[in-house]
Formats: sequence, C-alpha cells, structure tokens
Amino acid sequence: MTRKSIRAQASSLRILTVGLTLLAFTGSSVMAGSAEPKAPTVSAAVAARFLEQASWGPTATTIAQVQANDLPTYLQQQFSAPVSTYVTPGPGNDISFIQKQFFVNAMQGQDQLRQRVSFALSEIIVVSAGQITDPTAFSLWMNMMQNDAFGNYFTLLKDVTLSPTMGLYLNMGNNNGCTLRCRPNENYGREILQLFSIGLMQLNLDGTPQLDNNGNTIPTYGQDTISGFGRVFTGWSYPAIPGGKPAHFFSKPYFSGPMLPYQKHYSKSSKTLLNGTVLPPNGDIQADLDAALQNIFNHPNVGPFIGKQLIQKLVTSNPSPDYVSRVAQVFNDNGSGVRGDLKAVITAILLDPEARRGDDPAQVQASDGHLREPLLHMIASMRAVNATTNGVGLSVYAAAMRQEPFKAPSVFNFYPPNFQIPNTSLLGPEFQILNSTTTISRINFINDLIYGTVGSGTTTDISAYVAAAGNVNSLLNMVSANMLHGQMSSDMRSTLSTALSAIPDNTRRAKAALYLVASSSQFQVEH
Amino acid sequence: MPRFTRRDFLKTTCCTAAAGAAAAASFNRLGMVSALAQAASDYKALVCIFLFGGNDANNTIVPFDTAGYANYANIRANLALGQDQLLPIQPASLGTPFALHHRLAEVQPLFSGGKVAAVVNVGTLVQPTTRDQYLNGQVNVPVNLFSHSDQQQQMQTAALNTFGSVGWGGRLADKIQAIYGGAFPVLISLAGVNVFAEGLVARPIEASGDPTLSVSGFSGSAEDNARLAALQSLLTFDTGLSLIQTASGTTSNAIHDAQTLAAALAQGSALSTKFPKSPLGGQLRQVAQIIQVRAALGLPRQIFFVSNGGFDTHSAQLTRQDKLLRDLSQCMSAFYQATAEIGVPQQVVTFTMSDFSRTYLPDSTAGSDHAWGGHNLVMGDSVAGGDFYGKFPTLALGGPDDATQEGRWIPTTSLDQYGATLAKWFGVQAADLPSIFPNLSNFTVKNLGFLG
Repeated sequence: MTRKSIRAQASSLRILTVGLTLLAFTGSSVMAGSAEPKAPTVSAAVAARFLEQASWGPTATTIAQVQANDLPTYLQQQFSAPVSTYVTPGPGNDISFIQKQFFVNAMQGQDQLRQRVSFALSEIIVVSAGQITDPTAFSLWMNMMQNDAFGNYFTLLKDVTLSPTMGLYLNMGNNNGCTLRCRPNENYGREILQLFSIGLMQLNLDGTPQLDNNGNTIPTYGQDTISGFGRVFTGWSYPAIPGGKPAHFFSKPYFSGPMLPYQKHYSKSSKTLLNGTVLPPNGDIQADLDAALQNIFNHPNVGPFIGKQLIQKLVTSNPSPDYVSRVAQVFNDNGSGVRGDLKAVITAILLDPEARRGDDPAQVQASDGHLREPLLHMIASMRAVNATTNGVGLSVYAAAMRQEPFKAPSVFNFYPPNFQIPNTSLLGPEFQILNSTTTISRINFINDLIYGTVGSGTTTDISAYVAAAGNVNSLLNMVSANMLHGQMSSDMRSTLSTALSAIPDNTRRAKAALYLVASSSQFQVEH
Repeated sequence: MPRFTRRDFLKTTCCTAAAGAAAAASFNRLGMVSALAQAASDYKALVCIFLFGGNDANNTIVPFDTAGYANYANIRANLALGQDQLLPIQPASLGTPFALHHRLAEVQPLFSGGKVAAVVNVGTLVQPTTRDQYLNGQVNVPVNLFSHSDQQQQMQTAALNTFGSVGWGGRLADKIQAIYGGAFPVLISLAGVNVFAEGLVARPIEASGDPTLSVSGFSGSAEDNARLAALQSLLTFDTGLSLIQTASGTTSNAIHDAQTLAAALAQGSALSTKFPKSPLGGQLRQVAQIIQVRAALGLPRQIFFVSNGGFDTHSAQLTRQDKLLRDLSQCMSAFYQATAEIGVPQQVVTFTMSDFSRTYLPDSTAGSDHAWGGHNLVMGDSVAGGDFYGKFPTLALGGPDDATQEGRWIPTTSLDQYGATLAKWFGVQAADLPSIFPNLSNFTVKNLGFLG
C-alpha cells in the first residue's frame, strides 16, 4: 500500500453519513492555523481527524460542528463550552460513582476538548483511588482539573499542591517540619519536580536532553534539592470537617477546599531549590511556597517537558523536536508575554503543521500517530456507534485493559511518557499497557459492544450503518468517514469487502464492518 | 524513521522459530552455552519477583544481637519493629543473629532449612563505590539514583547510564536461544510489559491476567470464519505506519501464543498446592502451571517475571509493608511447594528485586523515602540457603555506607554480581556474562556463591 494509493482511495470516497460531502484532497494540506480570511472549507475528513485529537472521538454531529466554521473557531467554542462537572458523591458511594461520571462526561459532554485535555492533564499529574478510598477526593480533584485545564499552568500547579487529594496521595498533608530523629517527607517534593513540571534532565527548548562535554545528560537536581523541596512542603494540613473539630495540624483528611498553613509546623531550615536558589531559614510558610512554586514554574524545562507530553496525549507519540520547540515557545510566551497559558498551548498543539500534516494522507510520516489508550479506544468506538451510556459496567472492561479510571497503579500513571517500543528508537507510551492479554481484551470489548452488551446502561444505535449496508461500498464509506477519517486503505477496503459480501443480512453485515474496523490496529492507532 | 533492528528482521523474515534461531546464529550474536546442557532431563527456570515501589529492606532483615537491635530501634524510632515480634534467623557464615520481618513467617523455615538465602545490600553500581568517592564525584554512579522509573528500569536492564529497551532477562534469553530456544518464547512475563523480558533476538510473552485469552464471538459459522479471516488479514497489512505495525504484531503474537499455551496447559493436571488469592499468588500459580507442562512446550530453559506493587511506603509504612510482606511470604512458600509437587525444586530458582530500598531514618509521616542498596531473597533447592551473601551495611546515619545523612546505603554488592550468579547457574558461560551485565568486569567477584 503506497501513500499515493491511500490518497487515491480517499479521493474516491464520495458520500458520507448524514449527507456530508467529503471534499477530495488536492494534495495540499489544509492549514488550519492560517489567518487568511477565505480559508478553504474544512472537509469532513479533516474535521474527523481533528476531532480524533481534540475530542473523545468524532461523531456525525461534531464533524458537522467543526465544518460549520473552521478549526480555530471550533477551539474557541470549545474553550467556552459549559463544563461537565462531577457531582459530589453521597454517603455510601465509592469510586465507581466517579468512574461512571467519567464515562458519561467523556461520552456525552458537549465540552469534548475540556474532557480530553483535563483527562490528559490528570495523567501527567496523577492521583489514584488505589490509595485514596473516599470518592469525594476525586470529584473535587476532577472539577479542579477541568477548571484549570484552560487556565494557567502555574494556577494548576498551585491548586494541585494545595489540593487535599494530592496532599493525601503524596503526603504533603500533615508533613511536619520536624528535625529531631525525623525529617520531612520527600514524596511530593520529588514527584512535583520529576513528573509534574521539569523531569530529571536538563532539556533544550525542543525537548531533547542537554548533554555535557562527555555526552552525558545533565541532571536537573540532586538529593539536596529534593530535601529542600521536602522542607518547603511542610506545615500544611487538611480543612476542617464540618461539624467536627476546628482545623488543626494533624487534621484528618478532608477534601473540600485547599489545605491550610501552620507556620509552627513549617520547617525552619533553609531550603535548596532549583538553579542554585536557596530560601533562607525561618521563612514565611505561604511566601516560601509561592517562591518555590515560581522557582519550579519558571524553570526552562517546563514548556518542553509538559508540552511534549500533551502532544503525545493528543496527537503523536513521536513529535519532532521542531514541533516540541514551537509548542514550548508558546508555553513560554503566548504572544502577550504570558507564560503557561494552556489555551494557547493546546491551540498550538492542535493547529501545528505537524499535527495537521496527516490531514493530507500523502504527508503522513512513518512515525506519526499514537496508540489510543484503552479508555480512548473504548469511548471512541462507542461514540462511533452512537452509544449513550450511564457508565455502568465499563470500568470492568477498562480494568482488564489496565486502565481502570482513577486507579493508576502509582503516580507514574498507567504508562510512562518515555516508554520505548522494544528494539526501536520509537516512543509509544500507550504500548506499555498493550500486552498479549490486553490486546485481546480490547478486541473482545468491541465484540461485546457490537454483538452483545457492555453494560446495562449502554445502548448503541447503528441504524445509519444498517441503512447503508445494502451496498458494501456505501457501508465502508460511512465506516471509514466516521472511524478512519475517510482514509481507509485500499487493501483494507478490499479485505473487508470480501468478508462483508459473504454476509447477506444488512444488520449482520453492518455489525461485521464495525467490529472489524473498531478492533483493527488501523483504528486503534490514531494517525 | 524507526531504526531497523535484527528483531524486526527476525519478525518479518522468519517463518519459524528454528529459522529465527538460525538467522540469529548467523548474526553471531549468540554466545556459547555450557556444553552438554541439552540432556533431555535438563530443565532450569529463573523466576523474578519484582517488588515495585521500593521495598524497605531495613525492616525486611533486622539485626537481632543486643547492640545491633538497640541501634536499629534508636534510629528507626516509630518504624522499628518490636524485638519480640521479629523472627530470628542465624546466617550460617555470620557470628551474629539477625531476624526477619514478622510477616515473613513462611520464609523463616525456608531460610533455616537452607532453601532461601539473602543477598544483602545489593543495588545498581557501575563500580565499587565508597561514601567518599560518591560524595566527591570520584566514581561513575548510575544516573538518576532514587528515581522510581529509572531505578526500576536499571534493575531490569543492568544498563545504568542509558535508557535501553533491552532487559537482562531478555539478553539472557538471547544467549541461550540457539541451544535452548524452541517454537515458544523462553521468556514469559505475567506482569505485563516489562523491559526485563525484552531481548534483541528473544521475543517474550507479556501477559496481564490470563495468558491464554482468545478472541471471542466466533462460532465457526461460514460468516464468522470469513470475519475471523478478515481480522487476521488486517493484522498483516503494511500500512507504512510503524505504530500500527507494532500493534498488529502484538495482537498476532498474542493470538498465536495463547493457542499454543492453551494446548500445552490442557496436558497438565490441577496442582494441589494452594496459592494465596492475591495478584502475586495468581501469577505464581500460572508460572507453576506452565512449568508443569514444560515438556509440552519443549523448552529446557524458561525465565519468568512476576510482580507486586505498593512498596512505596512514604507513609503508614508499618501497616502497608505488613500486608505486602505477608503476601510475599505466603506466595513464595506456595510457589516453593508447587515446585516440589511438580518435582523441580532443584531446577527452579526464584529471586526478588525492587526499585531500591528506603531511608533508614523515618520521615515525618511514619514512612520512609527513596534510597539505594537493599536485601533480596533467593529460593530453591539449588540455593545454598540459610546464609547471607554480600556485606551487610553499617547501619549508621552518615556512616561509611550512607550516601547521604538519612541512611541511603551505597550497595556493597552490585546488581551485575547478583544477576551474573543467577545467569551462570542458568547455563551461561562466564565469558558471555559481561555482554549481559555490562559493569560486571568492574567487580572482582563474579559469582556470589549462593548457587554453589
């Protein structure tokens, strides 16, 4: 299969579901970021591919929404779309209450971009119900992530730092600045640096590691810095439980509202921060916290470190250094002198020429794309078959694929951003949880979705596909348009054609088409 | 563009494992394996139990002499285990008594009975390292010490300065592939994808849950058969996109391996040994069942990887490690019994690894933080058990073995020495060990002796 034949294939597609016309490619990619007033109309294929990156999967409705204007306008609309908030659990609820809401929001939320981005952020800054049993910790946490997803990264870092959920998860809550036969807990101090902001190695703007004269990577910090931040994050405890004792140090975990400062329990020692900055002894707990968070936020690694991970979550596992560099520059300065503007960063990621080059099949590179993580594969498949859900039963499937929502095995998320595909130089983060069991579990989820049931509260509607199934080509056009942004290859089309032609019943034929495409690697790898 | 590797070559050009082995041999990648090791009755398996999160070795093995325990209790303060709780053990070669964590109740008799040894204060080291050398930067040390992800990776790869995607288990499998390899992978992880299992030549099975899981929903009808044929056909397409090829390869192998393994397991019988109903217990039960049908799989050498998580005890350590070590103890004991039931206790060696150990000095939330060298357990009838191997660290804050002031013990035995001792027993020639353990040449002792 050559790229040329993919293009020929794409050009041959005509009719799409709900009467949308797929414009043939001319060979030039659609430059969505262009400021030209007369930008070309967005094709359904371009809209669908964009929505693979900017939502939990395209649907006929959202494809039409994007096509009604253009990509930047769609992003603006999404930035101001009403937030699908998480409802606070009641007594007797457990984490499944939050898990169900996650599926409902991702499946049916009108704020698709916020749902996708806040989930991505929640996989960079991780808390887990593996360790925290109170579900309220997670509704409040996700509402915070959703509010901050389109804000400033400093605000997010500070909110995360003072969140009782994180306070409990990484032990900043009730971390005492003691010195006698004891020392502050280093957990949060270490992981905010290693995972939430700068990483372990000095980076260039383009995300590649800086090297010393011997060709070795350069560490961003040593143990003295970890101890220093361990001391900075002392003296904070949980808000008071309503109707209980007044707030005090050593309060029991309570999740509503930020943690509270107790100067008496704040470490009196000096604190070594990044880049040789030292906070003097006997500082003010709140002033020191702000100074320390600014010290982290202003480290030059943050843009490339966080920018690259967001690119990986939304667009491609292997962004070029130039792509990372362009996004990091926007992180460093949104054009108005503001650092850390997440709206600008997300816009830069999604409208970058490298994100958009695959809109023209001829421009796709071998290393492009990323494996849909299990939740994204599940939800994109369900959206493609017009499913509605109340979320019941879906977490069990996700768990079998090693991605039960809110239950990452550790603060290192379900999979690491730097997972290298064995014996290649390619990164493939999501492949860390694609193993010989989960790869079959994914296919078997599709089997249940199409042929059986995936939970008592999930229904699908494949009537449009069944209506098209009288003609195998029409059926494949529709499936390709909705699930492969109109780029089904000619050999895939031919294989499917053969199998589908042997199935006379239209419903069974439509189901077979959906099953085979949704379970295929071509669909599982977003590209 | 991805680098084209030998493994890709093998995957794409070879139709059989025999051809794969021949091709691999033609690359001259394979070292010599001990001669005459192919006798029909010959079988050996290594089983790695990885304790994710960094097990606190300081409470796994505790000094039990009066002065030693007093020093321990003084520094460990609220993390100190009560002396009356601890389970005494007497390492054969040492004059002073030690004790195991009270939840290692099943391990204690195995240690005393000579079936379990402890390799103490082992960790990632480029070369022998003293406190002064470490503090003054006079020696090369592993990159990103005290970081979970890096130290897990390094414990599994023995590559201490790079971010390699080949594990030492995989390299070990590569070395034996030509002689011992068959149609079925030598290496099986039941803890999902872990770099330990990845080789350049040897392809592992990496499962999480049921390794015989197969695609469902195919009735055998003509329509279903056509659909199944289409599914399998789609997996073979060269789409020009590397990640699609990778995903397809994983799925194709999974379908094939599950069938082979299911057919082999059907020839086995139920084990009477009961395993704990924990994730680790389930994985070790699967290992035992696979070992039971080793003849059906035609493999005289196997390497297994299993794991448990949750050892990152920054807070509430006493209760958390309590549960974890109880599970480990019961699982190891059950697995030992299962090897005896199968008749291979001499032919299976089980060993533990972890990211690192934890600080001797507690933190302010009743836990401990990331450290370095720790103690590991080795189990089996071939193990010269009932003893410690390596040098127990001096348990003094800022003392000769402390990399900092908080009790982060600089390893006195290297991962390379630990792994090489296991690899030598497994059948790798001494001359080939440095290609598996790149820093082994920096250490005088290449064999720690716990496997005779």
